[in-house]
Amino acid sequence: MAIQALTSEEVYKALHTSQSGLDEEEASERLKTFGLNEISEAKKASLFRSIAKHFTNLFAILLCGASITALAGEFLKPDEGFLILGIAIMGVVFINGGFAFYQEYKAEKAFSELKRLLPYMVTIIRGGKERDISVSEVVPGDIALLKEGARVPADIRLLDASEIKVDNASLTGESQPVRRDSSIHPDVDLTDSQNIVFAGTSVVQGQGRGVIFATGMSTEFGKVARLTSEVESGMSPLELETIRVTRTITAIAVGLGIIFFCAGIFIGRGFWENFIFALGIVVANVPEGLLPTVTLSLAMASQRMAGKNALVKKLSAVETLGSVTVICTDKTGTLTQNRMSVVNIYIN
Amino acid sequence: MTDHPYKKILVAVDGTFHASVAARYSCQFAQAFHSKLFVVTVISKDMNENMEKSASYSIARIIDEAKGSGVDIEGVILKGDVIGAINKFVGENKIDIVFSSTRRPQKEGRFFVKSVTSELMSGVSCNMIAIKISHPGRSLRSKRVLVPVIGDGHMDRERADIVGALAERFSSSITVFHVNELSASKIKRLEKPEKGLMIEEGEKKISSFMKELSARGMHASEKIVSGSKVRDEIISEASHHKYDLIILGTTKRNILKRVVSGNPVEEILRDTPCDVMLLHFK
Repeated sequence: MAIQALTSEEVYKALHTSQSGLDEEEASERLKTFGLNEISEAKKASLFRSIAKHFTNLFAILLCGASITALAGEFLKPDEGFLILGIAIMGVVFINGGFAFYQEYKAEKAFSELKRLLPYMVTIIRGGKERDISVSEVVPGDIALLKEGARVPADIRLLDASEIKVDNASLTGESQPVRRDSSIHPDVDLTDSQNIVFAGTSVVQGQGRGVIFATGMSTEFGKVARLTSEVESGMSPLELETIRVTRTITAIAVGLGIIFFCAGIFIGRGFWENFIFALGIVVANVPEGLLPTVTLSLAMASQRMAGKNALVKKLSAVETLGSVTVICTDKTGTLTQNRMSVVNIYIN
Repeated sequence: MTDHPYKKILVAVDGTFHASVAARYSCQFAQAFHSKLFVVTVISKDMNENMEKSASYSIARIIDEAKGSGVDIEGVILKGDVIGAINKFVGENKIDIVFSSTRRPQKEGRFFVKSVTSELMSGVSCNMIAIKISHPGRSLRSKRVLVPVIGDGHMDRERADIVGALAERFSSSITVFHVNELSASKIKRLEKPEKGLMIEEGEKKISSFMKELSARGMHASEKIVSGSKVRDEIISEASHHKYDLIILGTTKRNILKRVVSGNPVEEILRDTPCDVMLLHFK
């Protein structure tokens, strides 16, 4: 059953539908089995993981280590100021983690709100009557009516077409609208067939009527979306640099601690006195202010970008964007709007 | 194709769209195997009048379609409990294989709700094929078929019989797919020579299945990949390379494994963008 090769009657038969569409009972049954006509997003991290990630990066762990070391110092030799130092460092970790989480959470929420603003309706025929329903509720077997300017809600086999042209730029990048018809195309693949219109594209001219045969992630657009959701983001340059700095600082701090401890032993000071001194050296070498400084400057930069209509979901993306040297991007519909206009006319 | 174990095929229908497509698939197999096809519906207590009518009408329609293609077909209406009635019919009529459709498995119902198909799988005494329809536009076309194989040699002959019949009916190109399951960190560290070795190892694992296919005069291509999750690799392959059908074998997993990591077959059935044929051999 290559749907592009079937006649109208065969299409109805294959999808158990008719000119008057599915009845409500059958449509609701199919909605349960095929699921909502939605592109599922890449799995999001849970709230707990989103919070935990700001407390488990290498620098935060280094600061926690320094704090615990200071508290141990307080336990071994009270009233030397280690308690305040330990609490202050731990405070820095919590304030910084909380602030970074809040910034990213706020951006994520704004992004979700934006998406909620964009639901769209589609005209279908059910039980012989035309109805406007949310695009997420269409199912295979529904008869969809397409008119100029409409976005195509799912993969559709056209049964009637009147001078219809669709913009496939979102799928193929092709900026020119392509003509579609309702005749049979037995010798071409589904994706190349002229009697098929795909989810995510839009009708730029004419009108048509067709049967929906694939929805959600089963559509060709869904397959492309799956490709993008499978891309795993690596560490940003800033994160890599922070890890490098943290490792260096840890090595220096611990190294200096050991050197001073050995030097103390060499000049004949007591073990505990030496140990406390070495702890002090280790803690003093940890730059407590670095983490909040980085977070705050990134937050400020993201606020400035928000003022210029750029929503930053991940703080470290600010620096990543700043260190970009080459951008490879799809142009039409991404950077440009796929709309040509006459700016000047030169004659002779 | 006359030397085969499937002389009698049963397809269970309930008047739904999915069951009708499964019935059409069973007709194709009946043609390939020259088998007798029984189209069976069970009128149970919880069915209303409309559902009964729809199921009976569905049988008539399938018989009409199949007779046009020369299949020896018989419609049967049973009464009572679905599983019990089908099981009894299978035993009495010495059915060799049962076809049924399966719906979209719901995430929340994974461990608790048994579907009719899953109960049939564990209940009937013969082999079974469950069909999940995800892309009606590509159903019963099956030009490009993906056959994921674990490579343990289990039921290779039986599986090759089914794949061979399907390839013959639809002139399909078959890709035998094997995933070397490794941890994500190990995959990142894999060097080129190691990758080569893994591919060789995978080829050895699927060699017995490839031999079975060759014995049936089929030329299938093979693809060996490394991945941290088999189900993700299968879904990804099916999506990117626009397969029309996946033919998959059932796996046995204990309750602990299912709770911890889920059942990959259920996840593939739920998330795959093309139709899936699930083979369950006794």
